[in-house]
Amino acid sequence: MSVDFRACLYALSDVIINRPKPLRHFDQIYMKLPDMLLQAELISRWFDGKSVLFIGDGDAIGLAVTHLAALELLPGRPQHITVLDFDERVVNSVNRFAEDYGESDWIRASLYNVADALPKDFWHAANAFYTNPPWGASNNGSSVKAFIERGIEGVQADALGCIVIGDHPSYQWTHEVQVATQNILLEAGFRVAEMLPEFHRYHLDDDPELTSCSLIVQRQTDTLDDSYTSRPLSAEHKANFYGSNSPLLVQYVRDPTNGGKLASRDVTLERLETTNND
Amino acid sequence: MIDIPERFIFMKVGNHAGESWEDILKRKRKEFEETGMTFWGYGGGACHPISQVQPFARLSLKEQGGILLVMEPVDSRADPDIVPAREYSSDGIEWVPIPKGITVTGSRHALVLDEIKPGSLDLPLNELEVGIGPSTGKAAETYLKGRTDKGCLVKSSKPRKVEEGEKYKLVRKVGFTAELRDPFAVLLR
Repeated sequence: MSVDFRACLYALSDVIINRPKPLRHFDQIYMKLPDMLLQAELISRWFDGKSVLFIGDGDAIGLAVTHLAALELLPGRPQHITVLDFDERVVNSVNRFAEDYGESDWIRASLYNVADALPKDFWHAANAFYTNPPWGASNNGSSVKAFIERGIEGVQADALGCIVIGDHPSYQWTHEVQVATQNILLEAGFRVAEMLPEFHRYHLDDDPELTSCSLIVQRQTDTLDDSYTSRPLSAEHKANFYGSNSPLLVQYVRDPTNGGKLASRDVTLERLETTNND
Repeated sequence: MIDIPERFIFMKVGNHAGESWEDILKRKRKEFEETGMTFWGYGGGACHPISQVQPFARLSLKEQGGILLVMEPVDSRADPDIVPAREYSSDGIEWVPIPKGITVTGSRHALVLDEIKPGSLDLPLNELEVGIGPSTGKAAETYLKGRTDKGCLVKSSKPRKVEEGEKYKLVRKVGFTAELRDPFAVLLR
């Protein structure tokens, strides 16, 4: 399949301008445009025909895949994407965009914080999960662990996953977090099916060279204990969620604009001065 | 000359929002006399109050009994909007009015400081690295290139070798210091 780059970039521009402003407070650091395109292409191939559960998606990769696939710009497409995010602005932006472009049958976002047990509706329901969590530079991946475990809880026995985590030769912590991540995945029966190192860059003003990898993982098994066992995060886990001494304190980020339907509070208008000659 | 702490916050300082460095210092000292603390405004992505400064400061408090801000006076041309902040928050959830007597302008974040004191210190950047956040472990001389003018720094376990004649290029001259006090750093609006 040949790729129409101009059409892809037009489509991605629409997705990018729809993303709410990132909050560094929560390590919301957005992926840059070229890497979003490559990532969307990767996901469309691996997750073709799958129902996919996104655990957090500030980058809007789920929407990018949906929109590019709807425009027949990608080689494959997930059958359905569910985005769970604790930021209501992200949830509203996904749902509003999908409604505007007639893509609501393919993607839906709901409010959810990984500190809570995974709602029963999502338990072992999807064929694949995707997460680009806060990377856990200072806690050896405690936040990464929480996001991945929710993703694993959300998929069936025979499942795929994609984890996007820090990966840079100059940063030892990224490799330590990768080891911790692979241990979690191995324990849950997943193997690494593909690894794309140093694959993405971010809008990170104090470190624009920092890169992340895409880790595609796969579990091929027929059996899985289906009894519901999802539990809220422990107090200890929440206390060091974003790093040592950096607790998770926020349940939800609320959207006072209701997905852009209400006026933004970010700007004020000043009246044009008039003179007697006007 | 004071010793280099194991962990500290480094910041370039200078003229800001149309005020000279000397005037800012005078105003901040007056604020400290009146309120017993000072808000030191800043912006940008580095040293986010909640995700970086607060956890870094808590760890420093545990390990070395406190956390120091070290300031390198530079000829700054920063001239942002001078709208003063009205409220601050240490968690982004609860917001309270800026204490009477404190003025902080043109900033989204502020360090909460004790008295600002003159203090001479030579910082060899090749012996330091970033101590928290996504850039953890990054060499300070690389991190502080370009637009980044502040950082939560630690002494590096792997100092970089520098030719004797080149060392002076990597030394930052600290002229002032201040202890951070709880809650260490806040958001402003």
